[in-house]
Amino acid sequence: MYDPVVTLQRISKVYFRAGTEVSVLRDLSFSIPAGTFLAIMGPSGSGKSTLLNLMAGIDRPTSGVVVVAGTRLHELSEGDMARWRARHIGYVFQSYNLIPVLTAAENVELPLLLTHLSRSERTDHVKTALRLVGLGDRMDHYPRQLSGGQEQRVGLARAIVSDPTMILADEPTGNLDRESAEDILTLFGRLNRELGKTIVMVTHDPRAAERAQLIRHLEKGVLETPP
Amino acid sequence: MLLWGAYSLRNLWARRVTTAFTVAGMGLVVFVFLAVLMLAHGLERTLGKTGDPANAILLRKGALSEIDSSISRDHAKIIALQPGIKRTLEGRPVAVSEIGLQLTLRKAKERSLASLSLRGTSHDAFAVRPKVRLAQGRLWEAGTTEIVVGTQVAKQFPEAGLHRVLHFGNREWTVVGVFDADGSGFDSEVWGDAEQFMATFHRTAFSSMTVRLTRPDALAQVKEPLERDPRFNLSVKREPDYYEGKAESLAKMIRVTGLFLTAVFSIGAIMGATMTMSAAVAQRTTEIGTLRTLGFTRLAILQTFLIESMALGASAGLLGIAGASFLQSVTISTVNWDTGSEIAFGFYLSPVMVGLALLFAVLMSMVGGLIPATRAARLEVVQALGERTV
Ligand SMILES: Nc1ncnc2c1ncn2[C@@H]1O[C@H](COP(=O)(O)OP(=O)(O)O)[C@@H](O)[C@H]1O
Ligand SMILES: [Mg+2]
Repeated sequence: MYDPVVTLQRISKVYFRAGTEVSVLRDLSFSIPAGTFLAIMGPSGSGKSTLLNLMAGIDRPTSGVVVVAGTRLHELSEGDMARWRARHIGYVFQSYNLIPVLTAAENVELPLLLTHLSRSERTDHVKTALRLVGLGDRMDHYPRQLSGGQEQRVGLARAIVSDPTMILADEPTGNLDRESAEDILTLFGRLNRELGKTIVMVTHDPRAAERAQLIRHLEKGVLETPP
Repeated sequence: MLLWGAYSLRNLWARRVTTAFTVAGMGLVVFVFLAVLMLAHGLERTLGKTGDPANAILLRKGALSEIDSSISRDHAKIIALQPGIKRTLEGRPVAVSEIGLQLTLRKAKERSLASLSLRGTSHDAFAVRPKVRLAQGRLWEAGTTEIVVGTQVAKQFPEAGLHRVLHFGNREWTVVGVFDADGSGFDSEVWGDAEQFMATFHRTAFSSMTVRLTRPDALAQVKEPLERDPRFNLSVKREPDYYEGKAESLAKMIRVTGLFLTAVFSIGAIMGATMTMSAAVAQRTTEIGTLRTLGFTRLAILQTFLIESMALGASAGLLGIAGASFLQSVTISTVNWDTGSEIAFGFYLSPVMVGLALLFAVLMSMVGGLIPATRAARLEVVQALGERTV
């Protein structure tokens, strides 16, 4: 158990576009204790995704130190970072990002191909994960045969199947109707309460954010402490 | 860190129209490549089969073929007695003295004139060459102007069919039989009585002798004394070696032209693979970002797209091989540059060629897929995901 799971120290992220500097994150420091369900809110373009991607190890800050699951990410090579992600991060995308030519079960199995699990162990894990999200009867369906809500539940199963240290979700309900969104949020709540998973969810929907334990607002590159 | 093969195959199937065109184009190149190899090999095999390892052919030293060689009647009698040459039970040497000539005839399809090899020989020719046997009619009567023709001659030249009469050397020659030489070059020859041909064409000497050895390894026993003897001025070769050498220029021409064509076409096929795979990478950029986020490395992405491209190549290879296998029933008749005579030969497919064709196809697709696969591997995760809210 890593506690805090995430520590950000004086993070800044600057983009250079058409000769001008765009400062997205400014000197940002905070940490996330293990077992927290955190919602990060903020207007579009405020840098929420950028922040999440830094924690996910798929992007690097311009300056500052990111420590996630006890690892100082800037010290990792490209290849080690990929292996680190496979072990510690479960990522849920706004547009689900399922592989269209793979069935639900195969999509969920993908992260397990990066482990040393045997075929039968992988199958067991996949079944467990899909049952957990209520899709035990949709294993052999292709993404196009599923509704948006079901696709996102497969996406969630894929994020948890390898039992990662932390789940990161970027607007996971952004493309969903109210009812499907509720299902996903309920699942996040259960994962957090029953399995003690640390979850960081980016959203601009206040009703989604309400379901988290903790809400932080990102505005003009600065994280505001909750009132 | 690899995805399953099914992932690549299903992606190819998902783009089946593009896949089909690419596979068809590349398959065509494999087909051409294979056709060239099959043809050159078929030619060599036909000539390589012409002759028996247990036989030796004797020519004048320095002669390139039977046409420019000569062995006098007197010498022929002495030579036949050389130890190492097989004898019949009655003690007669198993040897035949022959004269090689050229004959011009009209071909069936093209109505063009073609040159045929004419072999003046004796019935001993069949004792020396047991694989050659009479298929239709009968043998020529010694001392007459009767002739027999090989199966390919009968097939390609209607004028020289069974019971037809040919005019050459101011005499009439009746085709009384057709012989089958087991697909060898003799099938493209006309055989008759050596004495008749010599009289007709005012020759006093034979062109060559072919002798059967007591054992295949008795060549040296015949070759060394005869080549050393200053009376004869002879060169002794194993029969298949001699005939195989006679197809070198034509086989080389087929290979050079064919492989040049293949090389030119393969550039097109490689570009086809590159375009197809580039489109696949562009279409699946988000997917690449997703896989990378899940923890797949750049190398895994490179491998994935290379494998997909190679699957494309392997399918094309199989298609080309399937197409080329139909060529096996086709026979081609053309002029052999080394002899100036017509020679009929087929396309010959060997397991090695199948392997080569498959390797060639996979190599083309690998080269073609390398740039797109590298580009896919080089993508930055965040850019690939394209989740910028610009
Ligand atoms: N690769 C990039 N190049 C330039 N600017 C970028 C890039 N990625 C993001 N940005 C900019 O950074 C800001 C924050 O983006 P993002 O983190 O996606 O915001 P949010 O997720 O809160 O909508 C935006 O103004 C966006 O235009
Ligand atoms: Mg965003």
